[in-house]
Amino acid sequence: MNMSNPDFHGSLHAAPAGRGAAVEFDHISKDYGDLTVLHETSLRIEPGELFALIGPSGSGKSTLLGMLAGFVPPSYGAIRVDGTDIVAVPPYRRNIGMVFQNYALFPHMSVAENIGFPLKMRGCSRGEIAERVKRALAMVRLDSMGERRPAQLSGGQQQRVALARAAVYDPRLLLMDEPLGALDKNLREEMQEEIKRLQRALGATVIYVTHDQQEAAFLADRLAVMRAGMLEQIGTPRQLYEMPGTHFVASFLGEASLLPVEELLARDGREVRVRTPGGLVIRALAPSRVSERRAVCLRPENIVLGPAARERDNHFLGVVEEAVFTTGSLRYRVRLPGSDSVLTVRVPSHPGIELLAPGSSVDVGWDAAMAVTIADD
Amino acid sequence: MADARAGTGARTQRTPARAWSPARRGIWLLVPPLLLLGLFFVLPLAYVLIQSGSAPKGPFDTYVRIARETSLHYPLIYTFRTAAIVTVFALVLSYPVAFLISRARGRWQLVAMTLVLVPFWTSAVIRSYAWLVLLQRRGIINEALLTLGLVDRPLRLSNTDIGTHVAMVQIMLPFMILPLLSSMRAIDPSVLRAAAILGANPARQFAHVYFPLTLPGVGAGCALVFISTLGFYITPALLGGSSTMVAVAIEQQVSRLLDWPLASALATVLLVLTCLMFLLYERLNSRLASRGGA
Repeated sequence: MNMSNPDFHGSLHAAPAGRGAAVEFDHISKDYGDLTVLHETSLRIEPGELFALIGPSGSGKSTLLGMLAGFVPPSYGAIRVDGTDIVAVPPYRRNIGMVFQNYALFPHMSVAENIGFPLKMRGCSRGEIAERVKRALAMVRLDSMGERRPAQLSGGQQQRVALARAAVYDPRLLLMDEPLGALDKNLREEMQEEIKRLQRALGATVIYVTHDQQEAAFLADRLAVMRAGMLEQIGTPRQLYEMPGTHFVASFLGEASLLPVEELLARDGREVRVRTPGGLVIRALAPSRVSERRAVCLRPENIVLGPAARERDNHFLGVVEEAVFTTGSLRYRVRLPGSDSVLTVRVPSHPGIELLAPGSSVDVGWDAAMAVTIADD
Repeated sequence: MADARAGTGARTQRTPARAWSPARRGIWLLVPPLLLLGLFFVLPLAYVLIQSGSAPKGPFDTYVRIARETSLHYPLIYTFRTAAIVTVFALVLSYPVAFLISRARGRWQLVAMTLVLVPFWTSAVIRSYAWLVLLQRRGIINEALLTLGLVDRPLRLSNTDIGTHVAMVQIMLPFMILPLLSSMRAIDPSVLRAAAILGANPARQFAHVYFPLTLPGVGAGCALVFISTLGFYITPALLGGSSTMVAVAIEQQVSRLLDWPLASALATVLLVLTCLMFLLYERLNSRLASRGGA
């Protein structure tokens, strides 16, 4: 598949589909004395998958990655790569590629020496090293930079060297620890494309740690949201955004408005009718386990304002509290009648639309399929 | 518009003469140190230089003697040999110590640093006397060896090269440990983790990454120790054997032979050689820095 990709400049090898490694965390945990940084966690990552671990700092995502690399010994449990437990294997025998947040390039070596380092450690001949380094440099579009020192490169270029160094020995598993964290926004988006392209070309399994939810959603096949040393939810980016299981996931991925639920009134298949403490009756989706569900989650772009709102499953007359223009959209805070609930609403902006004045009444509406009940914690 | 711009152009051309500059503003601050150095360092040094040329047989006679008389070569050769030996031993002993200190945490680091710095703050004279007490015929080391029955007669430790070298190495250790430590602390730990995950076992992590990254500290420490050792006086004077360091030879010329011109010439030669060593170090260092891409 990589050969048909016109973007692909030079293959390190003919990457067979499915050459990535399968990774399995089996009931692993980590504590430092009384402090548990990772509670018992089990997780399976499929071969060739780009799997993102996201969460705020201290949530345990870097600990999980450090265990896979061999820098952090787990307190309990097993980590299996293609079925073999690697907990007792030192990092230098794991044959895993890794890109670090600050790139961790060797400052005393040239770019070519940096990329050739893993090959040298594997006893490759000089000729083979030169050949593969050349191809790796072409792959990350740094063909003429081989003789430079890392300090003479820009942040984005250093990042590409780190990528080439981690990929040059064809590891079946690549770890990336916030690799784009130090780059500015435009460069970050460019590099995201590059990483996706590379991953497809290499066919390796990639485990990607980030606290940037947009980056994770763009890159990942599946992602896990972590919180306080536990996996909060696992799924595709779309599943997690559209069907968040908890308040935490809903507000970590994108923007969400939450309406508290006081009572479940009726259930009809996946659809429920619930009542808020303010007495509003709302129709929403309830994916599972209704008893635990304590709030309704709404995404700002799914709420309709104005006359069109009257035709939706849920319709109320709200009051505009706040109206702001942001690039691309008008952002409102709308208070629902008889309650403390305030919804965040985003409406596409264009010259033909008036910005509603704060204090004015407005029709607010959304369909049942656009609201999801979640566990409120 | 064009006129206005021309006007400002003319003004900016005039301004540099009167522009406020922090560098020029503070220049008078240099007067006290320059006075101090001039009176108590440059003038006496100039006097030494003048005196080295005041021999009755002509201004260059003393230097010709130093070049010709082999008995005057020995102190110079011995001094450089001693500096090299002391530097090598100080490096070999300091590297593991600095490594352990750089890895130590919290209180242990404080304890270790104190152990390094307390001797550093103690005068070399006192430490040389202390070594004399330890190494002499009836010193602690000999008494201990005799009591344990390991030797029959006291070993000759003081007034030998070995005793002098041991004491000099000990006195020089902090000058080696501190630069090594600062270069070790500057190493980003993730660089070593990167080496590990890329396939380097601990020995290769050290050889290919850790040691090369400490080379600036190794260079600075060796230069400090080597250059400082060239000027050693009190320790070899107290503990030294039959061979003499240049500084001791100078003292002998002055106090025993009263040959001030020759002593001054020897001092000048030592100063010039020391400066040459420093220049050599600077050249090596800048080459190293350019290789490091800084």
